[in-house]
Amino acid sequence: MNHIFPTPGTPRDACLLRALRDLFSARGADGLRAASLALDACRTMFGCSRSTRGAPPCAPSGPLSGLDTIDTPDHWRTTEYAFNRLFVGPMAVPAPPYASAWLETEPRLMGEAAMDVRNLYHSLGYAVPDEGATPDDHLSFELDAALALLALREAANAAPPSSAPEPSPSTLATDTQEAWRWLVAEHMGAWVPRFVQHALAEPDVPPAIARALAMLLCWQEDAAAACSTASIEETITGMQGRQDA
Amino acid sequence: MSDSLGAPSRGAPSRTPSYAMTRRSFLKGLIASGALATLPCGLLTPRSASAAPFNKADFQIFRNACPRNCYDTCSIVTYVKDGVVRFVEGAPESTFTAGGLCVKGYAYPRRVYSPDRIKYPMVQDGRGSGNWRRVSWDEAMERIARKLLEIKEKDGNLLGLALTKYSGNFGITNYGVEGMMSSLGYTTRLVGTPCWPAGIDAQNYDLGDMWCNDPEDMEKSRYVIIWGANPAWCSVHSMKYVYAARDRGAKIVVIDPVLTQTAAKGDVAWQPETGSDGALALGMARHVLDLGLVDRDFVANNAVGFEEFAAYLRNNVTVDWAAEKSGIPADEIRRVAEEFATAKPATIWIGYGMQRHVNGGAAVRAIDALVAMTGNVGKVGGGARYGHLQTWGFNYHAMIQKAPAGSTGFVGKAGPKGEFDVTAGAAAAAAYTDRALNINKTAQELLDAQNPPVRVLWSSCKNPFAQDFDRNKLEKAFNKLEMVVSVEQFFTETVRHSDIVLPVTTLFEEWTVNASYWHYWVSLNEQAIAPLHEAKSNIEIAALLSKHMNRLSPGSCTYPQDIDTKEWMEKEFNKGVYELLGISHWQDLRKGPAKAKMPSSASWSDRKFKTPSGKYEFRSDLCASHGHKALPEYKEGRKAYAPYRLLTPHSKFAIHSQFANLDWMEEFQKEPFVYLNPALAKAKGIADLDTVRVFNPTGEVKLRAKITNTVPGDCLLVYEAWFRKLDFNVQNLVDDESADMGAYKTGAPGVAIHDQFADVARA
Repeated sequence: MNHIFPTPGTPRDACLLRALRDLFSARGADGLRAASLALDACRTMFGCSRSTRGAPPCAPSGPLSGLDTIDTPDHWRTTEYAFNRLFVGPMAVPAPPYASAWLETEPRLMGEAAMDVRNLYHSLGYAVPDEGATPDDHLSFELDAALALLALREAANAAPPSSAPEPSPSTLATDTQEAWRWLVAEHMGAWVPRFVQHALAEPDVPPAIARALAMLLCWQEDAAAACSTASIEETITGMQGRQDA
Repeated sequence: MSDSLGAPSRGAPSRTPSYAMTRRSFLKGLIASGALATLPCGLLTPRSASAAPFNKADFQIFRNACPRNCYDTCSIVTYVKDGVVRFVEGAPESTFTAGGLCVKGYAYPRRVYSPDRIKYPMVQDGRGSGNWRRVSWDEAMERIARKLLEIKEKDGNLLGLALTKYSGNFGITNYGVEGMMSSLGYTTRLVGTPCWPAGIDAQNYDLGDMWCNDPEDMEKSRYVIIWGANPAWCSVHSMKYVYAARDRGAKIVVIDPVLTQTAAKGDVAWQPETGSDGALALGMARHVLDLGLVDRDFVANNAVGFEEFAAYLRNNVTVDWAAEKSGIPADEIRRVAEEFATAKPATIWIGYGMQRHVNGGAAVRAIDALVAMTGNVGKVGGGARYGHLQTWGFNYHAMIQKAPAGSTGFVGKAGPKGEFDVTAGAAAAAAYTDRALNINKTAQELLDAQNPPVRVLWSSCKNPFAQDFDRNKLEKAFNKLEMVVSVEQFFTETVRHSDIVLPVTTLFEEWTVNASYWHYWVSLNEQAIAPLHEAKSNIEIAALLSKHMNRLSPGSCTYPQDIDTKEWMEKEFNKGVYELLGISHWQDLRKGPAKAKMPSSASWSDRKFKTPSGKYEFRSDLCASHGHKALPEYKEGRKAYAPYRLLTPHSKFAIHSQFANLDWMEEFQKEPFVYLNPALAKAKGIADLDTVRVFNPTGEVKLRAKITNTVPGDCLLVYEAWFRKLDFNVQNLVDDESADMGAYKTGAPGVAIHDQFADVARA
């Protein structure tokens, strides 16, 4: 029985994930610029899947849409200040980019959500640098893990199908899909939308950051929806399989 | 097809992407909201609500100590799982902590893991602009090092570098910040203390040292006067001894202009005129004298100058006069004085608020005299309790560093740089010294400093913009500074006015050792977790600065470049500390805090005073030589310069500007209020929760009013605290008027924080 999990737009996903990861882990203007340009390049290369489906585009419309035409050091410096005001500090930030800050009943870091993703990273054979000192659930690490799972899914799907009559529950493909579904749909789905909404609601969000936030939400929602579609198909296929056997 | 951002595609199951909560957090939310109790299920039955059984073995347990400026310095037991502090408890081994913390202490995990915590070194492009950039530690320290070398080049010395530091973190190794300054050369220090200096000097004049009984012996007292202190809020662990004394028949008298929570728990509550405490004490002393209840043996054999004091009382003090000054009825003064003098033993707890007046030191001397003449000094359950430093005899290894060869500095008389300055003696002998500026007049001193001016300010364990006086003046003073570095955990007003902020460790993230200035327990503080984000401890910051200084200019800083906080904690211990605590090694403290073994719970039990005469000095020539009176004479208070008294005491929910910003504390204390008596409110046409202006020549604040009977009719009360979301500070209203004493033992006079006046009007 062939169980092919749909992986539409994987190169696009990988492009987005990489750029978003780099953007949200940027330490300064240079990093923001590089990641932002990379993100724009993803859109140029792959288009926006939503626009092809008739859904609203990934980026906010109006003067903020389109690629960044201002590429001066000043512009990126301003973007850097705004980035820090929104996500880093030293003042209290309106949109802390950590899952625990959104998933605990009282906002905090190093909550259960951080332990959850730490376990996921460990199962991949990875950990955040300076584990214990570094909150595991920073958005950039979660995006990095998603990138890893994406690659694993690709590898799993490329492998020849098992010759056994029924797949064992612990095939790499199944595990990877389940991990991906948990991370992207359940875990990130629980906090990323609110994080993005809060950030976008702040005054004076620079275009590069607004676009990145919109694309992050866009990607997460599409990927989560695709998981749901995949699980429907999986269930149907599984039922068919049992009927056939 | 979906037609709006966030709506699910058709055909997808009900798990919508915009559904914000996971199963687990949904349940948690339901439980937290109490909604489970009200669900209308008819067939389903509730699952048992018992929590998962607690298994201690799941946790790593560490010993910590609260390093805040608080009487209680709690010994903490910290529970860590997966490298995360889950919760804290009070250590059961300390009879003082007795297994419990306080409302602020229990909130510590909120502090460590607050999303608001400063994570990285950051630079503000344009002070006050709000435009911050993240930099690496190396970049930050290099920037600072270059600036220091620049000013050293310009001025020929480092007097342009100033340190402002006080009690934000009392972990002993944090004196390494002073050490860092010394290791750079001779620098400028904001010296003194805003807290308790007048009383310290007073007790030194009278007794030769500030040295209180073990607070745990208060339960043996037969009469307890709590004078200008509010332990129900500010030393909650002491209350059990007060209650124990009362259970055994003691009377509890609380003296405070405000009907505090402590006063509400007393048997007698006196609300005297603010600042009249000296007169009140002298009035009581006069009555004790008249009744012949003086301890003749003590005043003859263990004291000097009593007859002169008695003559002063007879000629200058009457109970009626004291009643007029204080507003306490004369017969009440007589009654309490007689009860105090006949109860054996009797004690007075002298609060720090009580001496924050222009006549604070004189008032403490008068209260000391009352305790001494009734024979209560050196008695278990007795004494004039103020504070002590008996358990602070560490090596101060972190603090004592040598200036680089060839350093030049201030030439002039050098006094102590504060009450904890162990280097005072050595400094007196050096050719050069640090330049001392009065910490209680920080704004004025920064404005006035010349040759050289203060160019760089290093702020650690202190929040000058929240705590220093005359905020408007401080703004002007900061404008003169070329570089401001603050070492912090949260974005305070000081950080807002800084150029560089460096993230510092919390108590759970460093090794140190802690003593108390009230009780006699010493606690180990183990490192329980890795420093979060990029936080470093104060001594690690010093080491990194040294590395950069020496890279740019070899020999410019003598501070060791390799620091391990555990090693430096170990270096603080010495034979004296081990003997005092009755331990053989600091490792013993891992099992729990240890208590100093004193010959008696009473200080001065051997009646060998440390005064020049070796006796209790009712007449202190030393005091007179310092510009005060030899006897504990009455000193006038400050003249009012506005219609109402302004009191700015401490809140239960903060230690100055710490804790107030945590969400748990904000539950209790969401915004500042000015508390007014109904009579005052009526006179001003102010209703409860009206927005009002409180104003005086120093500045103004806008806040809402609350009407209460606990505040006297001529007072405005605003708790001093920092509010995260508001641009508010009482320091807009508090000027830097000096208290009478403090220079002798702490390097600068105190400040008359409670001798402030203001007016109020509807906004």
